[in-house]
Amino acid sequence: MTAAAASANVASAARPRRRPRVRNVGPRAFLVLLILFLFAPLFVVVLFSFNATASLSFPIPGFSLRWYDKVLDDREVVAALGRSAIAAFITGIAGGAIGILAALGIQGLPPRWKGAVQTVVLIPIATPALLLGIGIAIYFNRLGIKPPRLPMAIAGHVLLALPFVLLTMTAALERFRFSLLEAARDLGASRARAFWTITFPLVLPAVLGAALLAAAVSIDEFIIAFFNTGSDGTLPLVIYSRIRRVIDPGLNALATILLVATTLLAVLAARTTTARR
Amino acid sequence: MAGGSGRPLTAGVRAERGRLLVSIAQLTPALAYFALFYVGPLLVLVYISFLTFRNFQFVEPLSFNNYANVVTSETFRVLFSRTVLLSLLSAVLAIAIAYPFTYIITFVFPGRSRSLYFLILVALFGGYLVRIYAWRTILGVEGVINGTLMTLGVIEEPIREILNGPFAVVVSMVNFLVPLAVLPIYAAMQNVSPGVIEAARDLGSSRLQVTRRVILPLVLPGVLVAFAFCFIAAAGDFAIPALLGGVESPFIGNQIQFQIGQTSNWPLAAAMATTLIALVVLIVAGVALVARRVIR
Repeated sequence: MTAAAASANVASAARPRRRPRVRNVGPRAFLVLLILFLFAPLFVVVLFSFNATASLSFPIPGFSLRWYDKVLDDREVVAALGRSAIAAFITGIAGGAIGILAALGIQGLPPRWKGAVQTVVLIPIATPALLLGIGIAIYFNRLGIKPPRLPMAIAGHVLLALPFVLLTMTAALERFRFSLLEAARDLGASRARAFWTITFPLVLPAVLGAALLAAAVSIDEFIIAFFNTGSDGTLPLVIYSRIRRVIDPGLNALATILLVATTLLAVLAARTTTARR
Repeated sequence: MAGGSGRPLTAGVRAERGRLLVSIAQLTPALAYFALFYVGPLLVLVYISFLTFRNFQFVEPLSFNNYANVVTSETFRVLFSRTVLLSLLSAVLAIAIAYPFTYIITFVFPGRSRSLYFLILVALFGGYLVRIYAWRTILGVEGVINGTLMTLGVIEEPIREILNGPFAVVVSMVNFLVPLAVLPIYAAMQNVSPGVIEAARDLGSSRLQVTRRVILPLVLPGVLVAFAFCFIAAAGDFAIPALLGGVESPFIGNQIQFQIGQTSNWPLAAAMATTLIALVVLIVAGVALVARRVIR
């Protein structure tokens, strides 16, 4: 095909499509603006984390990785990264395990109770994190449990993660064909065998997704960690304590690291739980 | 079910009962966890709020003194009203953005609704504090907007008013709340069939009428849940007002944090937190009541 023919082709293909495109200009513009509103601020932080100088204005004179070097040499940051990773890991495992059991339990309830239980599990999302944070702090204090305090924050993170885990898990379980399970039992499979050959592989991706979601909630969580971990803080706490100081370009790198960690977990979680229907 | 022939029925009932027991067993860890780490802490918090703070100790007798302090103090009243007003505004704005978004991805571009919803999920779980920091970077005196405007020569002096005030608080609050509002509204919108909308349009309803008479009544529960989530999250926040509100616009959360961090007055902080949740619940219930009356 010659270039002229190709461009004529493109033109004729474009013409009939113009009308519907014009029709939805409003909605399209709205979507673009909203996505910009949601993601542009994050993009700005990422962009300036690669800035060669310390200034925070456009145009950017050049790019470098110096702020990452600086931040990763920082002991406080590395320690906080470790604590965040531990908290996320434990929240993922605990939240995923408790959540999958509870989701299976909800699945087996009579319809009348199902709705009520599904509403009750949302309560932690509808409780200000501030209340949970200070509640958990004073609770452990009254129980006479003193530092290490990271476990207190983790206890709160699991609580916050459970509603999200249950929401995604129950939605996923609704889509499964549990008739397969009955068929296997009817054909003489033992309860254990039916579980391992049918339920387990069916549920596994959703469980993984839910665990990743719980980990994402933990890594991103600030308020509960603030009231419980104190000076042995997680990554968001380090960022919070440094924000008020004079402009520190290293913060952009730090924020980007946190952002990449949460986004990665969130993307993986959203993909594993929404991918198949 | 009653009055069937004996044996299969009892077997069925027994199987059902067995299933229920399994369900309860499966729910036990979650319920225990809930009791230990949710109900327990909140009960302790309420108990503490009745204690007396003396010489950095919390001691009995139990009294309503902390609550009296919270209710009568002029400072606290200002904090409570600012918290409620700015949180209401933020929640309403978040819904005003989330609702059309959900409508558009469900009915205008249904083919792309999945990937757009996915983006919202990513936004929801990605970067609470990073977002706040980003808005500080953007709106600050030495921030992106001021820096760029000054480089371009549009302004000589940085504009100080854009950061450290209610404006910055509401903008970043809405930014953080929109994904939270989308979740329940999206779930509710999936129950509206496009056929119903088309039918209403064919019968001569305007777009506005369709929204008001057909869609809104159907998605109202979702919108109300979204309102509750957003309003509660905003009213209980302290990081956004602390980092973007400057000295003029602290929330009650900042005062609670101050009482705990600076004076260790846990009983007073607990009373403020309990008052806050009571106020929030009342307002959410009131809004739900009014909305149910108006929209049907």
